[in-house]
Amino acid sequence: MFAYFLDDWTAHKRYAREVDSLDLLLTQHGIIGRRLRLGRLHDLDASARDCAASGIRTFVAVGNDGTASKLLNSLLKIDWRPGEKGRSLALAVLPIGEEQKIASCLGSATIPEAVQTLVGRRTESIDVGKLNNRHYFMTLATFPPKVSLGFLSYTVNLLDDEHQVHICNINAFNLKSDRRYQKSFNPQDGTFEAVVTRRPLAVGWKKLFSKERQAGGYQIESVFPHQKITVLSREKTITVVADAEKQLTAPVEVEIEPRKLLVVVGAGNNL
Amino acid sequence: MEDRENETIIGPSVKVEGDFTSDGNVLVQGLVNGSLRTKGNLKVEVGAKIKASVEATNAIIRGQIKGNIAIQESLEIGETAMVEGDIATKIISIAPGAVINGHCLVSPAERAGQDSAEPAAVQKPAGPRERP
Repeated sequence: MFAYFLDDWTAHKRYAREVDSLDLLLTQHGIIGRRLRLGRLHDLDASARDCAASGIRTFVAVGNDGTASKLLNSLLKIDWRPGEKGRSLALAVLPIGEEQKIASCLGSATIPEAVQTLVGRRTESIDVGKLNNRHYFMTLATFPPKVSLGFLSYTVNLLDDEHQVHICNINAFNLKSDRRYQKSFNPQDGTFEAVVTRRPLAVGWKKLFSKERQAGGYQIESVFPHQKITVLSREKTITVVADAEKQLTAPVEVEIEPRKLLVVVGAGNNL
Repeated sequence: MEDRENETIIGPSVKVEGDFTSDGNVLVQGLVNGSLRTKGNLKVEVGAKIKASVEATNAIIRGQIKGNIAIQESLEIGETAMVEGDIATKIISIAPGAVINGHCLVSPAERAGQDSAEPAAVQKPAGPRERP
């Protein structure tokens, strides 16, 4: 059974056509389920618990990365273990609106692809990152410039303020074709990669044909695979984009929880 | 050692301070102060500056290292390399133009660093080499 968690803003007339086409496809494939709208006063944790108690096993976030992030955090609060018989709660995404990094990584970049993914219900257990022992993230956490990284026995300082730090779980930079990073960015290996990137200013033809284009304009300079990283900053609070934007108190402890989450993946997944 | 095997990349824009340890292959292009140990292969690129004792299984050095180097298998020192410190390894190759200030122990029979034989002194001027 499925539970669809629609973000509040999907009710806007701007998304009416997408929601209608989604409804039609779900009906055609016979995968209609419980429908919940995430209003401002909606208690998502309680709804997720209720759904799990009533036997629903697939939780579908209908919206963007922010919606998936909210549902992910509520889902992981429910006491369950992935793969355990009868207790396999899985997360899926139906993309509506912009900012669809999670949906693309799971092979659900468009609504028809996402519906096919739901019909197939092929699941994979993946690692999730945890920020300050509280917030979970699935893809990557992007930190602002002027931070440094603390590992167990050493620290990494950035020599340039223009460089940015990302802590990646999934191959969010879409670098599967690059031989240098084939071993990195595996969301099932129990480690994540702290990546230092630079965003070179590309103009004209360079903008279209540069190598960095496939990495979303970022040029990867350093990679540190680890399980626990502390991000240090001179500021008291840091704005981190970890699936969705979050304000966190510095220093930020980032830990990995191996194979904690079950996700529904499609044929074109990027895992 | 191929590029695709690199797991840790210390890029030109970062400085690592402390005891760096790794189980995989390491590529250094930036600055390292402290110590650098890896169970895999090490590649030090041109422009990299390491002020640390270095331990690895295999290594290719083309940058600057100030500190002792202990390599378990083979060590390749490129023409742009500058090493200030003692070297211990099983197999070594030194390209013309490389600068080494320190003792060099090459013992193929036993593991590098465990041989009791006296190290052979390798003395080279720090500046450019004189031509006859």
